[in-house]
Amino acid sequence: MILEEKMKKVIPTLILSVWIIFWVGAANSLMAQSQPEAGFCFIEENDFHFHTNSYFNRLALRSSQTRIWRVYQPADDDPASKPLFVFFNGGPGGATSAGLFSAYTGRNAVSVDPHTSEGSIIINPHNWTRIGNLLHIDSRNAGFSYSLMGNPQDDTLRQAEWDAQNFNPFIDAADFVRVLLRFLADHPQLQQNPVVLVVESYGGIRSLVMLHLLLFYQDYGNGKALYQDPALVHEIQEHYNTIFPKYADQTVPPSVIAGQFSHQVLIQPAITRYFQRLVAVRMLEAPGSILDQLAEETGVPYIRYRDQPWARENHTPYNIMNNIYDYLDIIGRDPYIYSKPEGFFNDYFDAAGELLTHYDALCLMTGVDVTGIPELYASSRQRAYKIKFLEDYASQMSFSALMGPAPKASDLNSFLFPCAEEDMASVFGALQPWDRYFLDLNYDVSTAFSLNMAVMEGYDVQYAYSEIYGEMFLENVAFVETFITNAAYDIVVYCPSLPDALAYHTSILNSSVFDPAGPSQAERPGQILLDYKQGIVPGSSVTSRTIRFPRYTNSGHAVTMTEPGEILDDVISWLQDTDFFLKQQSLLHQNYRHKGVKK
Amino acid sequence: MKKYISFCHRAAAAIVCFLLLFSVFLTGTERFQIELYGGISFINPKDFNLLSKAEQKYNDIYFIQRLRHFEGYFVNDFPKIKETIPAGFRIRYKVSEKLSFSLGLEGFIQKKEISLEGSFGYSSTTSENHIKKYDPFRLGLSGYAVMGGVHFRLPVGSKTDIEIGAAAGWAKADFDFSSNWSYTASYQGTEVSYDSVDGGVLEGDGTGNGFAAQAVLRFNRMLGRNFGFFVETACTYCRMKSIEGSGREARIGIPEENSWEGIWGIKREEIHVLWGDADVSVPTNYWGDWTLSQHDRDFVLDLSGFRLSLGICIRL
Repeated sequence: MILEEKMKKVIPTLILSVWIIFWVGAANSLMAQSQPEAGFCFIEENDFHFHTNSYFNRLALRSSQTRIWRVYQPADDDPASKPLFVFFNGGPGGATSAGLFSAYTGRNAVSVDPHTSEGSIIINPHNWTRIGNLLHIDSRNAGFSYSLMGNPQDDTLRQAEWDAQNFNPFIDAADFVRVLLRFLADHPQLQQNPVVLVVESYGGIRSLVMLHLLLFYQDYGNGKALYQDPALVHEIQEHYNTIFPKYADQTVPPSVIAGQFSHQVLIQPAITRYFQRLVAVRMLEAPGSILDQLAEETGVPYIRYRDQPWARENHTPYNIMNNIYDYLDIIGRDPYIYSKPEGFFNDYFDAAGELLTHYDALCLMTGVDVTGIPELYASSRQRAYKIKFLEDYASQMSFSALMGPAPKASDLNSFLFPCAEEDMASVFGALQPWDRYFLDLNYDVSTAFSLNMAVMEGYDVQYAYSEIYGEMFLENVAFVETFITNAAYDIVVYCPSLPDALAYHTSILNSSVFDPAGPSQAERPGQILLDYKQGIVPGSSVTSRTIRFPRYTNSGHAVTMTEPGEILDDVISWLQDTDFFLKQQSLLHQNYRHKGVKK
Repeated sequence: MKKYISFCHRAAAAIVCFLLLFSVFLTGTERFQIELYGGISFINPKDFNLLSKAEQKYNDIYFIQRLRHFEGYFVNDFPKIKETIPAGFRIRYKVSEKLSFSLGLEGFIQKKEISLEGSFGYSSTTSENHIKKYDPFRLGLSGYAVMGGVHFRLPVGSKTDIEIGAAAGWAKADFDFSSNWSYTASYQGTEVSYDSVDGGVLEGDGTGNGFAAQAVLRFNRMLGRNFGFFVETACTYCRMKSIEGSGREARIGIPEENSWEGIWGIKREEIHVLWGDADVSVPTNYWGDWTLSQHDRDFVLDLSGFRLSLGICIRL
């Protein structure tokens, strides 16, 4: 009887305690979603291979451990109900931190004084946190990201790290998929939310490989695709088991997966680079093109490639583009934004990079006290490496994989002797000579993408020449709504060439046509109309798709830098026009129902 | 599997011992004869030799065709096993002047090991060089058969006779292959140089057993009362299926070895590369990852062929 009395008192107390613990935990979890975060995502060694249907002739590779830098900024209000926008730049080897992260997408932005080239941090009036949660990611060995190995001090071993096992479009995209899925797994309140990739330049290749990995994930473990990564397939399946419980441990159709990865925003992207270049140089060398206009404006004639005394008979579009770059160099214009003087684009990156390697500025930009990030400290970077050669640099470098022209000596100097590392060293400790706190563009990474074991052995992974990326992109577009910027002053990725470049993929498309007028009512019109061959895309009955393709008349390569408000407005309108917010609610509702959670 | 192989070896050794001991006891009975012989067998284990043929095709599609604009060539060919060296021991019981029965043990062995190298390159303002090397590429085959036979003697002289016969029994065979390969590629450009080394070791083995039979035609010549020699030809039949074995692969850049066990089969690989296509049939006992869908048919170790041997016989 006494026991019963005691139990009567204890049980409510117990229930209350459990209830409090539960809600404190839930509140913590919610707080975690609503606070900015900065830090590293550790990626372990992963075995993968390239093959052409002959298993023992595959190129078997193992990637090295790496720590990928990511910054999370929650949406302005109710982050748990908002989509996740994932931002990254290109290069390859370019830092997102000095790119999209600084260039008017996050809460704060870096403003660069055009006269002094000095950067300062301002509150971004066009921040994307208005519409969602933001995740900015630096790629392997770029920005703040760095890799780990056994004996980084051994020059031979360290130099061998710059090869296909760590640098090719597939393992690069796989890194990003891993970071994204692990971020989502660590943030359960966001895990089922729609994800929109917002990418720039080479980021176009990375995003199309990422989406292909996510949409057609089984092909990457069953031998169908060139790249095979069973551990990644397992990780993707685990994610889908959570998001789409109806398909637990089954192959999830791409049309269902597109419920989460339904939209992509591509800023001046590389997609089918060879065809883009092929059409671009044809358009740029046509009579009356912008080069002739520049010649008239500057009084310096543009000598077409074929008229150059040194012109090669068997030239490639890249040879012609180099001739164009040389001309822009002569007239002192920036190929990334030819309305501006030479160096405009890189100066912004340099200024942003310099600012970010100051402890105070980094805290301000990320909204996080970065002294709490253990992996930043020199003491935890004993096995870290970030650069390949310690000396005799320039003679060891190739720039064929860079999106833009080869860097000048001054660019290389800033790479060799990075600025402002001392400030970071004063807080986190001095690094080894082969390590760096920050690199805005890692040229060694660019080189490794271009020249590596996979390329030398003939695997079709060289993004500058391969047709597979264009095909993968078109397969993705069958499921994913796509927005591509068409900037007026960008020569490096000359987007007017894109519709015709896509039309070269005749195995998938009947036609690709530029419609300069549509959609109606658009402030900055433009779209690409794709006519697909019947039944060509696995899992889809698509016959036509429309890519939003607005024209930015004041922008070059970095559209968010020059027209940040315009692009954000256009993206919001496009998301509305393509029912993104409706689909988002539907996906969230469906998943909450699955999980039995009341929203 | 290893226990089984060990058992087979012990059983074969026991049979040899038994035959030797038995022959000692039989001395003086004049009904028994022991025979020792050795020679050459011409065989065509097609599926086994596909290991070489496939490698040849791989080199053709992945190397020669890809680098066809470069200067270069391959030195040496991949080995094939077309003959083995058999040796045997037989004890025979004479039922009548013309008819006898026998029990024998015959073994065979063959190993072919070769080093191959292909080098392709060009040199102008930039240069490139690709070297594929096998050092070594090896095929090995061995086995034995225990057979009972019946022999019919046709005298053609006082010391000479011709004999026809047939034997049947059980055979066991082991095979193995090993490919220790490397691929080095180097590029020297105006701005950059690049060297890469790829390579690895791929090994496999298999053990099978099955029915064996042979039809024999032979010429006997006695050189003394109890001693003679013979020349024997035989058409042999022996096909083994469901062969099990192990495999091992080691690759540069990956510290751990991959090893496995499995049943040998023929895999059909439809290779599509930028510069061409190829269909390759290759024997394997690895069915992991995504390769099971490429299974085309069973692997058959066909040891049938023609044997020519020279032997001595001793009447006990």
